[in-house]
Amino acid sequence: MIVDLATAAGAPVEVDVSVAGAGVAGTTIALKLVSAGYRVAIVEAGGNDFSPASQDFYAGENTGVPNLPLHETRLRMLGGSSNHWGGWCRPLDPYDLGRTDLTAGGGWPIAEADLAPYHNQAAAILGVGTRVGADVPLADADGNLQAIRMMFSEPPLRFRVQYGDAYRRAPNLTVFLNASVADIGLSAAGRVESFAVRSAASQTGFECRARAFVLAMGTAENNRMLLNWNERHDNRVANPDLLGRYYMQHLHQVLGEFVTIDNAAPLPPTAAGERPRAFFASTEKFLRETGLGAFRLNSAAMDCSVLIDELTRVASEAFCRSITGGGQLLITCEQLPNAESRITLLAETDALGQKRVRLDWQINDGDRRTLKEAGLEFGRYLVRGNLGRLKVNADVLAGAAPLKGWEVLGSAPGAAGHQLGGARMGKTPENGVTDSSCRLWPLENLYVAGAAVFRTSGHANPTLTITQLGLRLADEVERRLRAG
Amino acid sequence: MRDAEPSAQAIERRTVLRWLTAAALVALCPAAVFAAVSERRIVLIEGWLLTEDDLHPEAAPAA
Repeated sequence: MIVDLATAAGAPVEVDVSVAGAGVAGTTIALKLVSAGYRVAIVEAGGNDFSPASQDFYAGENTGVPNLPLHETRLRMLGGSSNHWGGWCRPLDPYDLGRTDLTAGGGWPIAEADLAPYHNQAAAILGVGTRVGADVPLADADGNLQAIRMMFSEPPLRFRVQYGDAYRRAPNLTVFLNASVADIGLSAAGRVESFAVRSAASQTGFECRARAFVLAMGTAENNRMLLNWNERHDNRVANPDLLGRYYMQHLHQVLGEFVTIDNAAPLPPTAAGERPRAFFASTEKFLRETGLGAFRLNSAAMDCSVLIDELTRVASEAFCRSITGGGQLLITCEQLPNAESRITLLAETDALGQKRVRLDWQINDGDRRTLKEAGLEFGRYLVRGNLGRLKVNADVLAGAAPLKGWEVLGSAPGAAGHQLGGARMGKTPENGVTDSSCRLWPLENLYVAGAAVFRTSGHANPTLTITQLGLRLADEVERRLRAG
Repeated sequence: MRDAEPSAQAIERRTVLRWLTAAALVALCPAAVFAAVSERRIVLIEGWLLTEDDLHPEAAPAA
C-alpha cells in the first residue's frame, strides 16, 4: 500500500521494522523482511516523481575538491537513485575486504565469505547475471594486471518500475511518500522507539513506532541525518569522532592515450555512446607490493592522427610505421580512506529544520600516486608485450591537484557517481560508526544501509555490494526480532 | 619516402654486438648486465613510455 502524505493525513503507525528510504538498499531490506512475514513501513522522503522542491533537501555546500552540486547527484523519490543508475555491477574483490594496510584501525570487520552467500540473490534483485566470470591474468603484465569481467543491468533496472507492484500490493508493507524522518525517539537505554515522520508538502506528520529501524537514505543523507540527530541527542547516536569522516568517491580520470602496434588489441577502445566491454584491473599481488588503491582501466575510441604525429617527434619512422590504431586510457580507482575527507553540517537548515550538508571531499598524494602508477603500469605492459605505447597525461605524471580531466567525461565525472563512507563499519566502537551488522554501535536497534558503511571502496561500482549488505542486514534484523 | 626496414643482417649484427658487449660486462657486473640484456629499458619522453629501440635517433631519453 502506498500512502502519500502530501494528500493524506498522518496517523500513528506501529510495525516491526521501519525503513527510511525507498531506494535500492531500503527496498531490498523491506521486501526481504516482508517476505519473511514482518510488518514493514517504508518512509520515503520524496514523492512518486522527481521534483525540484524535493531535491532541494539535498542542497548543501562543497568546500573541498570541486564536485557536482549535491542536490543533483542523488534522487529523492520512490526508487531513489536507481532512477538514474548506470547499471554497472561487480562485487568487491576478496582482497578489498581483506586488506588492512589502507586505514588506521584495520580493515573491514567482514570478509568475502560474509557477502558471497548473498551474491546471486543481489544480482537477481538488480537484474544482472549471477556469474561474474573468471578474472584472467595478463600474459605480459608481470602479474600486476588482469582482465576482469563487469556485470550490467541492461537496461538499468529502475526500482520504482520493477518493484511498483510490490510497493502497492505486498502484504504487510506500507510505503509512505513525501514522508521525511525528522527525528528519532530515543530511550535512555539506547533503544530507538520511533521515527518522527514529517511532510514538508502538507505540514502533517505521524509517529512511526517499530522494533527495529533502518536508515537507507543514501550516503550523504544518512550522514546528514545522523549528524543532526547526534547534535540533538548529546552524541548518543554515533561516535562523534568518526561520524562523517572517511568520505570517499571513486576517482575517474583520463590517464592518457595509447597507440597499438601491428593491430594488437590490448584493451579494445569503445565507441562513443557504447558500453565498454573490456576492462583491465590491478591484481592483489600488485596492490600488496605497492599499497596503491585498487583500479580498473578501459579505453575509449579516439582520432589517433594527432597522437601519432606527436609520436613521430620522438620515435623512429620505422617504429611509427608499425602503429595501427589507439585509444584513450580511462581509469576508475579506489580513493584511499582519509579522515580529513568528511561530511559536516552547515548552520543553514532545510524546510524541516534539519541542518544542511557540507561536503569537504579531499583527495591526497596517495590517490594521485594510484592514478600515476596505474598509468605507468599499463604503459609498461604495452612495452613488455610490444603491444603498443602509452602517452601519460602531464597532469597525471605531475600529480596535479585538484585532479584535472573530469570535465571531459560526460557520463560520470569523478565527482558524481559513488558516495561512500562517513558511517564506516568497524570492529570496535572506537574504530567504527557501525558494527559488522551495520548497526550503530551505541544503539540497540538502529541500522545504516548503503555505502555509508563502506570502510574501503575497491574499484567496483558499489550497488551490488550495497544490495548484498542490505540482504545481510535484513537477516540480522530478522534474527534479532526472532530473539525478541 | 620512408626509410627501408633494417635488413636481417643488420639486426643480426646488432644482436651479436649486444651479446658480445653483455658478455664483456658480465665479468664486471653480472646483475646489471642481466637486467640490461633481459629487459627492454623503458624511457619516458614527453609523457611517452618508449624503449630505446623505438627512439628517433635525435630523441634523448629523459632523466
